[in-house]
This record gives sequence, structure tokens and C-alpha cells, in this order.
Amino acid sequence: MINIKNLDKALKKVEKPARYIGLEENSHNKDINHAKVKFAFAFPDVYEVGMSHLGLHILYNLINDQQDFVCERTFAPWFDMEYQMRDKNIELYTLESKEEVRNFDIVGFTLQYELSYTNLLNMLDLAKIPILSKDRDETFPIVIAGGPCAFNPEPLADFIDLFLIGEGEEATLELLELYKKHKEGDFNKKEFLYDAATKIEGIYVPSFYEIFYNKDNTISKRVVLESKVPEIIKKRRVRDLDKMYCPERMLVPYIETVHDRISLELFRGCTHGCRFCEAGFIYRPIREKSVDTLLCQAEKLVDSTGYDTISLSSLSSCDYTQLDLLIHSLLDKFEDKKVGVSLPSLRLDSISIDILKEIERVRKTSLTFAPEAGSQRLRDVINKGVNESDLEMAVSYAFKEGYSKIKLYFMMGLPTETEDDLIGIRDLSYKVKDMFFNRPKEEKVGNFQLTTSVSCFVPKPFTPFQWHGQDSIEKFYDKIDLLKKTFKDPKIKFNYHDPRVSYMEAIISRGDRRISNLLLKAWEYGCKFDGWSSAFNFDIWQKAINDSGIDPHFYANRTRDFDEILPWDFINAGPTKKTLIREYNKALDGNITPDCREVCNGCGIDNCEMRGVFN
Amino acid sequence: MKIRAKYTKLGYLKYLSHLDLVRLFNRSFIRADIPVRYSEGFNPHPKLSLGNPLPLGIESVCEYFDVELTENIELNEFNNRLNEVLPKWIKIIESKEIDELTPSISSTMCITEYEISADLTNPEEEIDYSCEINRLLDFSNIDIEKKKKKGKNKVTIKVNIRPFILKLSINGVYDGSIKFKSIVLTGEKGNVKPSELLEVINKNTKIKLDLDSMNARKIASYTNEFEE
Ligand code: SF4
Repeated sequence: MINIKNLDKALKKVEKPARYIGLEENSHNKDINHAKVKFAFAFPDVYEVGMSHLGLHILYNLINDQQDFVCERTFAPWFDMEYQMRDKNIELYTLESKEEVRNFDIVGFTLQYELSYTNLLNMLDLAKIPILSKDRDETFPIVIAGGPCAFNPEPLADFIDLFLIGEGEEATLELLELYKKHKEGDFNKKEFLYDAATKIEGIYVPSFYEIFYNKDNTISKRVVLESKVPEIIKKRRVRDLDKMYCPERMLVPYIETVHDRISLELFRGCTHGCRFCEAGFIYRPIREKSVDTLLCQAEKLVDSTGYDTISLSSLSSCDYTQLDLLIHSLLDKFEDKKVGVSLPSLRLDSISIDILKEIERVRKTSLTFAPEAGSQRLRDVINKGVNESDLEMAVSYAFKEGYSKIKLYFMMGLPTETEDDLIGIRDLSYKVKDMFFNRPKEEKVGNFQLTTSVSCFVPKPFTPFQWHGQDSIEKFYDKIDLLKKTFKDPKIKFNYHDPRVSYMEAIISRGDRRISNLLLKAWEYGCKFDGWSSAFNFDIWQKAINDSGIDPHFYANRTRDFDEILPWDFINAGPTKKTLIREYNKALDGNITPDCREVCNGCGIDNCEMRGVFN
Repeated sequence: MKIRAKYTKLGYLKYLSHLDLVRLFNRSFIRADIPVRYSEGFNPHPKLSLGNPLPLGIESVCEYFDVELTENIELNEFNNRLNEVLPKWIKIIESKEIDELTPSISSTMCITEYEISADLTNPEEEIDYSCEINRLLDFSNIDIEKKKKKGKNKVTIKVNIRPFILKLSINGVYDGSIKFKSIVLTGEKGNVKPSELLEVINKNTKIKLDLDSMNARKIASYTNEFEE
């Protein structure tokens, strides 16, 4: 255990001390000394961000419900706390037992976004755990990672001992069981990793593979170094969500977090097939929970947390087949407790609007729409199945119901984009504004405010755009200038993302093993919390790029050939490469692919659960 | 029905802010099935009010909140049901029924008794601690600098806190650390924080304290008449 007196002194000096104390409702108080396997769940961002992540609540309860295992949490300390910790010799600790992370058996990082990677390195350093996997012997914890970004594990290959690809519920327990067995004997790190890699599906151990490169920097081949280690890693997916473990409790933070509410996961997967969206491809197919299961889970969660809002959180919650029934049942059930229901994402269609009406029985929520592209042509290219009349209908309903603040989200730098498409962003925004002011006087309630936000497109692995070269930073700035000039209305606020941030994201997300060196340099030079605009420092990143000798354009701006070996090709995420190529070609031709809930598009998932359910 | 409840705030939960507490109580009312009255309007929230915020990092065994209910409830049951769902560091000690005429918590409880301890940085020095404190209390002026918001800017102003210190005494010295007891004003008429007391002791007496090691606990609240 860390020195508690020092901790108390540190806490008195930091801005939000309650981030670092734990003791929340539904946190466990198991004795870690009696646990056979001690697992530290590490989230490489601040407490408020990490605690809003549903996966944390699931794994935390899942592991702690097992008698032999214990799971405790640790987060990235904010700048002020890191300073105090280094000053007072406080190692990175877990919130529950205030135990040094270094004394745990396994440290598991969740990878939600690439720009948290420097935090991961910093946390290892704060834990006094050697950063490079090869420098850690049996006296240190096994460092593992999972989550959406683990689908391209290569940029972190030098740091992480073992990756878990796909949904973690089942594989995590299998891994902890295996660890327990190994710990009972003479624990040998390599033997444990070998057993994990060969016995548990979805486990990737980077040190069992070697990568060779061509003169032009592309990959020439991957070689498996140990016998029986799989060449292709197949992602894990839970097949029956009704039978899957679902926590009856959720940790309830004392401080305000990004997401202060119950997260009710209705289903996994999404099959709209938006061509820019990684989650849509890697979490296929759709697997729903039944209404009965959900009502039962909601009741337990309300009782155990006291939250007044249930958020229906899935990739596209409006797609839930029995949404109407579910929402009615939830609202009726909790009406007297004043518990409301919220939908984090709305689609621009009539179903969403009807549902919105229902929810309004209890509480108003803010309205955000994401047309993503400014013209119908480009929306077809990205397979975003909405058209202008959908948006018009949704917006006019919103105005009628008294909403006067609307947010619109777009992307720039999408494949095939022209100036006309960009102007389309402006036209659509002005149209929304005109719709508000063209209504009869008595209906114009509220202070109209439209925010149009434009982000820079980052091509992601496992999407049909994984071969596409990202726009250069200069090109993005040109486009921003063009848009800025066209937005002249004080009622419309034009926001844009920092292209330099998106550039770093592009380099890392499609990176290979050589990116490890870049990350290490960036961290050594002081990069952390890069996802926070207040902390992101492009100058340091640029120095790290120069000193690590990588060619950033090779990773970010280069359009790849279809026959190139991509760094993540050895992972089977579900849809086949053939499917992705087909989709990319269709995109370039402006052809759409319908949602496969109607007809299977043959994306290549074996034993797809949907084929029996929807088609 | 309106209830005034007295509760504790101990251990690490001394780091919860005023807003954190409000949210904790609101969640606890839902979990304990307390029939709380909600405000009207678009965003209904429970009719709950807390006293003046306790400085972050200070424990207390006498915090108060007022809450309005839609139905009458036994006070005992109110306490028990809430205590069942509250964390063990924040517990209702007692509660009483109040009415519309009862003055608010912040306007009544404006005298506070603290127990404060801190490590000495000069424990080996021979000092008559009580004598030093009495010497300090003999001052008619003890100025401290307080930061105040003035429009957008923060300005530092000098405040004489001597009139706000009603009592300050030594409660024991052992193991290199010293314990004080103090009664101070904590309201609109004057406000002294435990950290400020230690600061003036450090500055004006031979007693030298490690300010970072301070531990403070609020042990009583008094009304203007000096009665609990
Ligand atoms: S296999 Fe067919 S039904 Fe299943 S996700 Fe792929 S396209 Fe959809």
C-alpha cells in the first residue's frame, strides 16, 4: 500500500481530489491479499472519462464476482496530481486498496482512442514498471490491452505483452483462469504467454511474431516464431447477449463525469455500413438483448445506483427492433421515481422522431444531428443512409417541439470530396436556419443557435477506407478557410477540429510496429493527454517524428494498394478484405449498400447470428 | 413535511465538493424511496438545501441539510432508510422536523468549532505552546491575505481575522504533532478556515507547522447565540 499520509498531502494540493479516492457506491472491498489473481484495470485518461466507459463497469463487476479474482481501478492522474505523485514518491496506485499497480499480477489497459497511448506509457512509468515488454521479467505484472483500438495492436507491440482482440467478457475470465494455473506452479512469463496465445482464441502476443519490411517501407512478410501460435487472430464475440454476464450494479462516481447515468446496452453491432466507421465493421453482427432482460437489468441498476436517467447506449440505439415497447415499459416502470430515458444518438428518420416524442414525456434532451457530408452524392459515397428530406423533417419537428438549439456534425477530407461538397455543408446549415425563421411568428420560440462542427476525416483500419490517404494538414486548413469564409451568419457558429490532431491520429491508427518508437519518443519529450486540446502539443510531436526517423506521410497521407500487406491484416475482425475492397470500389462509384438487416450482403462473417434473425 | 438532518463527512469523503454531496443525497433519496418533493419546471430537481460549504479536505461530524417531502415519514425511518444506502463515511446522526419559519442552515449555523492537528517542523525546540497561542490572541490585529474575485480579476485583500477567532487553544502535543481546538466565525459576518489559523500561527508565533500535514475536523456548529 502506498504511504497514506503522503497521499493525503498530495490530495490537498490538487484541483479535483475526489478523482483519486475511490470508495464509490458499488465499488468492491475485497481483500486483495486473499485473491489468487489481482487484476488492475487501467484507463489511460482521467477518472471522469474512464468512469463513463461502459466496458469498465462490465469487466469490473465480472471479475470481482469471481471468488478467486479481484479487479481494482487506476486512471491517468491529471498534471497536478502527477506532479504531486512524483514529488512525494507516490507510485501509481489502485483506487480500491491504494495498492501499487506494480504489485498486481496483470495490468489491463483499455484502448479507446489512439491519442491516449502516451498516457499509457506514462502510467507504466508512474507505476515504476519498465515500459518495454522485453525489459519486464516475472517480477513485474503482465501488461495486457484490449478495446476497439486493439484491432490494430501493432503501434503498441513493443509495450504490451498480450492483446485481447474483440469483446472481452469471456476471454478475460479464460485468461485469468490460465494465469491462476500458471501462478500455482513456477510462473514463467514466456510460458504463460505461449499458453495464452495457443489456447485462448483472440489472444495476440506480439513477441511471437517478426515483421520484415520492403525497401519502400511496406511490409514484406510476417513470420510466426513459435510453433502452434496462430497466424491469424480471430476476434472474440459474445454470441448470446441474453446469457452474457451483465452487471446488476454500476460504480457511481461522486464527482460529475462525462456520463452520469445508467448505461443500458441494448445490443452490440451495427449494420448500417457507414464506410468511415470502424465500430460498424469490427463489432458486427447485431446481437440484441430481449426486452425482458433489459427491463430486469434496468430495475436492478436503478435500485443499486439511484441514477435518474437511463441512457440507451448502443452504436445506433434507434435500430433496436422493439424500441417502442422498451421505451414505453421503461417510462411506465420508473415514472414515479422520476427516472427518465435518454438516447445519446439520434438518426435522422421518422422512427427516431417518434421516439423522441415519447422520451419528452419526462425530460428534454439536446439535439444533435450528424449528416456527416454536405451533399447527397458524398453521403452515398460514405454510405450514410440519410437524405436531405430526413434532415428537414427531423429539424422541423425539433423546432415545433420548442428546440431552438441544434448541432450539426460533418466531416471533411472524405474520399472523392470536391469544393461543391464543402459548400454543401454551408448550404445545409443555412437551410436549417431559414427553416427556423420561415416559420410563423408565434412558433418562433427560443433563441435560435446552430452549431456546425466539421472534423477532419481519419481513415481507420478494417473500414473500406483503410487504403485511403488522408488529406494533408495544409489541405485541411485550405478547406477550413474556404468554409470559414462562407459562414457569415452570427446565428450559426462554425467549429472545426484541429487538423494536426487528426493527422497524429491517422499516423498512429494505421501504424505498424515502428510507430512504437515514435510513441516512446513523444512520451519521453513530455506528450500526454493528447486528446485534450489544452494539452496537445504538435511541436513536440513533430520533434518526436523527426527523431524517430519515421516518414509521417507514409502512414497518414499515402493511398495504399489493395495488394499491400497492411499491419493489421493478420487480425480477422469479421468482414473479409474482399468485402472491404468491394465497398471501397462501390464508394468511389457513389453506390450505396443497404443495411444487411434486410438482405445479407455476404460480408464474410462465419456463423453470423443475424442470418437467422433478420434474414 | 420538512426535515433538517445532521450528518457526518469523514475519511476520504472529506474531499467531496458541495455539488458532489447534493448529487449523492439526490441519488440516495431515490434508492431509499424517500418521497422527496421535486421542483416544478422542465428539469425537476429535489427540494434539498445544504448549509455553507465546508472547505475541501476537512472532516465533519455536524453537517446539515434540509429537505422537503411530499408525505410524512417517521424521523427514525427517514434516518434508517437513508443510512442503509449512504456510504459509511457519510451518515445521518439525527434529524428533526422543521417548518417554514425555521431559519435556513447557513443563516443560523455561523459559528464553528474545529479540531485541527499538524506536524511540527521544529519539535525539538523548547517552546511554551500555550503561552505562544495566548500571545497571538493578545494581538488586536491578525491580518491575512484573502483572494477575492472582483469582476473578472482576482485581487488580494487584507483581512483582520482576530475578531472572528472566538477561541483557540492547545489540545495536546505528542509525537511531533500538535493539536488545537478553535471556535471561529464561519458565515457572512466573518469567515476563518482552519488552514488560515495555522498560517497565522506559523507567521506570528514560535510554533512552526508543516501546513501540508494539516488534519481538521468540524466538531460542532453553533447558532449566533452560541448554542447548538
Ligand atoms: S454476414 Fe451478412 S448478415 Fe451477417 S453482418 Fe455480414 S452482411 Fe450482415
